[in-house]
Amino acid sequence: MAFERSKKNTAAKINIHKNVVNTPTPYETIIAAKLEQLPVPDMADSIWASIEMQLDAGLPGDGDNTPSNKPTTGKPGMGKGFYFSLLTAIVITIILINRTNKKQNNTNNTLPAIPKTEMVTPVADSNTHTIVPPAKNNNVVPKNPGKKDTSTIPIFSGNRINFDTAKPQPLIVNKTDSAALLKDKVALPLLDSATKPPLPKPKGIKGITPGDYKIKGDKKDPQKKGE
Amino acid sequence: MYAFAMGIAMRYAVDEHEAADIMSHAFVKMFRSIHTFDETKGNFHGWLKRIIINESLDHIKQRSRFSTQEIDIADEPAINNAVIERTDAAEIMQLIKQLPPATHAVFVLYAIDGFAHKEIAAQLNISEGTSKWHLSEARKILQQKLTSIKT
Repeated sequence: MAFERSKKNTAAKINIHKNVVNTPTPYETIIAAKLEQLPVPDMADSIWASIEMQLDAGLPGDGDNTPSNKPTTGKPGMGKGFYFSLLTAIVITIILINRTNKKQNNTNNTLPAIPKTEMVTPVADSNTHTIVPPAKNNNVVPKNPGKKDTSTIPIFSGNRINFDTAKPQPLIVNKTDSAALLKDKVALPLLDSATKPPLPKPKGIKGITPGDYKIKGDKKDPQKKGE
Repeated sequence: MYAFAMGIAMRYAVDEHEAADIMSHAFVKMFRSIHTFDETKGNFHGWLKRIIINESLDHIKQRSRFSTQEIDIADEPAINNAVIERTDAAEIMQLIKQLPPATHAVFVLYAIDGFAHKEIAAQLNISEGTSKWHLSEARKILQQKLTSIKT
């Protein structure tokens, strides 16, 4: 452009002195040379940060100012980028599905078997009335080694309460010490809101109130009247 | 590369902040359209220069409008070259920046970056006559300012 212009034959111009707007003047050439030496401010870091930010943001360009733009092939949005993103999405989905399946398998396999806790009730001997206490080891519920975030509460057969609040409080299981106690038990009627107790039978005869029984002294006996 | 690009942006911007803005926008466009660069059409510096100039002109267009006055011929300004030789580059740049925005753009495009009036007209959506008028105006103003420096 600029080089082409400088190659132009200035002799072709009729009025070379007047038509100066088509040729650069000598002082303009000097100015151009001077401006090449113009010191530039050191703003490279801030400019680069701004470029990075804009590229990361992925803002669409406000007008294409590139001097040579080749026409893009294919439909808009269906280029290589589209297929690449589609492929990436598929791969990510497969990986995620595999991971979730693996997790499920792991949880099924690695679940620790919870040991059976058998509460041994003391055996009451009806003949001798002596209670055979269960073995000491059987009273404590074995700890679950698999889960550390759960605490087990030991169950004691006795009535003794451990008052140490720092330790977990045991659940006290009330037990009947003999079968005889169960025999003397009075069966109480079970009342609930659904079943109401029957109302007591009303006294007296229906239609006669206590006022009707009142004896009045004003009236004279008709048999005595004649006498 | 930075000095080269910033030097171009500084010629069109009113201050260094606008130059930095032009630079960042131009480089983003360059990165995004790097695949369109054709080595057979020209070197990379020329391509980058064109992007920066286009971005600069977009900035100028946003903040000013170009008048429609036209001119075909003008008298050669009587400027003593010795005065320019003595004047500092930064000082000359300050004088150029004092020109009206459109006149400033046309002067830099023509006198420094070597564009023809036809190209300037196409870039700025003005007629060739208008481009010439702006150049003439720039010369007149600069002549006055440089004369005042001389005295």
